[in-house]
Amino acid sequence: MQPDEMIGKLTEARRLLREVRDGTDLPQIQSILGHADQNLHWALWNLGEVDGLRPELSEEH
Amino acid sequence: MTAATIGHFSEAARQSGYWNRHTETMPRPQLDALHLGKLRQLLAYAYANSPFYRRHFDRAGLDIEAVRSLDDFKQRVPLTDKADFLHLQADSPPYGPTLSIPEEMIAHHCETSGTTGVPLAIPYTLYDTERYGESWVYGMWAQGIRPEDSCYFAFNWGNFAGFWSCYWGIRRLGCRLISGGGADSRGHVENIMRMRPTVLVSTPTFALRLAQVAAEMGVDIRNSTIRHTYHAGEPGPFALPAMRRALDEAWGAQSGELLGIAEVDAFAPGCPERDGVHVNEMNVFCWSRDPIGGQETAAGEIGENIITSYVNSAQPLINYHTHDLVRRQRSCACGRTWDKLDGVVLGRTDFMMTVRGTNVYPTAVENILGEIDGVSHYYQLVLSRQDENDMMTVAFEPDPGIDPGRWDGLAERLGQAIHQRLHVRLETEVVAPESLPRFELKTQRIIDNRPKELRRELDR
Repeated sequence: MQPDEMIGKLTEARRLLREVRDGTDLPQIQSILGHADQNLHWALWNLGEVDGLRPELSEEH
Repeated sequence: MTAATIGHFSEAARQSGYWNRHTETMPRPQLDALHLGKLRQLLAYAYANSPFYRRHFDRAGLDIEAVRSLDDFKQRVPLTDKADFLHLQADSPPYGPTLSIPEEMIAHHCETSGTTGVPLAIPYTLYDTERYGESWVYGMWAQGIRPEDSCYFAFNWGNFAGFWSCYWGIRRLGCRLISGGGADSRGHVENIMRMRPTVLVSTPTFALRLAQVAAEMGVDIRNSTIRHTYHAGEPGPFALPAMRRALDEAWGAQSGELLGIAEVDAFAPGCPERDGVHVNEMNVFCWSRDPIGGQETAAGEIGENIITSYVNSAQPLINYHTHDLVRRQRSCACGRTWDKLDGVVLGRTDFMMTVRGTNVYPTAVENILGEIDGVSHYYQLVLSRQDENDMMTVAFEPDPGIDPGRWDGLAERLGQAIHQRLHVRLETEVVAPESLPRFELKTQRIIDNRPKELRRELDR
């Protein structure tokens, strides 16, 4: 898979993940998904996609 | 479980010599475009969130929107230094106005060793720790360390960022971690023989010391399970060919090294060519400057490494003096496009030395000398090599009026003060008044008696 395609799928994964996180009030699930979002942000960063220095900042955009 | 499934890696990934071929071989124009985008975001972030940087930039008249090129960044953005942060933290401990996140977001607190006096507090978010740790993995992976390896940490933990960051990296890589915290040298040797790790992580001189202790114990450490040694904290195998030969021979293993700065990042993992380190250009931006004139130095020339970290969002470090003298190369036979620092660190702008893994600044020792009643201002710091360690002896003249019967007590008080303040034990030796050489111009305070092949390039 080429980097551009990976970036597209990872960006979509972040969007889906946030939907689940925002739709639950289970602290454990929110925590796990917070870590997952951080990892997805890091994967994007290491593919050359720069969208905020911290995941929560790119969420605010 | 098969090897192919250990740690999530496919066989093709396991065979790669790169942790991330996409970025480690990225063409320079693409890397530079990435840097510019990250730097502009970092400037805006720091200005918005850090009281220190807002004031720092305003005082310098910096319009962050006017930074439109890497040259703009190097020339317009004011430099920072550890001393700035130390003063601000001292005025308002523990972090002062250098912090750019709410304090409750700090997930991990580390400190520098405090060898200049007061330790620098280093706050990290959880994400910062993950990113810092990643810098270890590039070099380990390139050396052939894989998730099925097990890493033995031959050091105590404390608050020191360097080895905590190795722990964060090893978690990412997926290796087993075995902590040797609390053991003495013999205990480390016994642990290694009993727990059968495959990677030793330590300072390079301590690895040599352990091999020496193993020999004294009658243990054939060359035939232990260790097949890699990986080092940081002192000039190591990629800085000093003699150190590389000594480590490889002592352990019957392949040694590796990275260059890190506690408050910044483990920012330069070792090169497979084994003669330098590559700047992790995903985590930091570096350039070199003439330490006297201030102008940028070209590739291949020696200059002070100036560093900006993208991954310390809790306490950003922007255009930060490292005081490390480096020689930057723009290409490498290993295929990586990330800048290479050949010979790692060639010298220091502030004459820092490393004794038993602890950084020692002559000025810090000199300050303590000046505080002990009865010690004159005639002294020398003598570097030597003993038991595979760099050692420093502080030779000093007592004030002429001091009774010789009190000289030993003076040496003891000085040694205690140094240990208390700098957390390192140095030999102290009284010499007779008028016995040290006098100089008309620049006094030679530092006498380096170490073998030349075990000194940094610029110290030979």
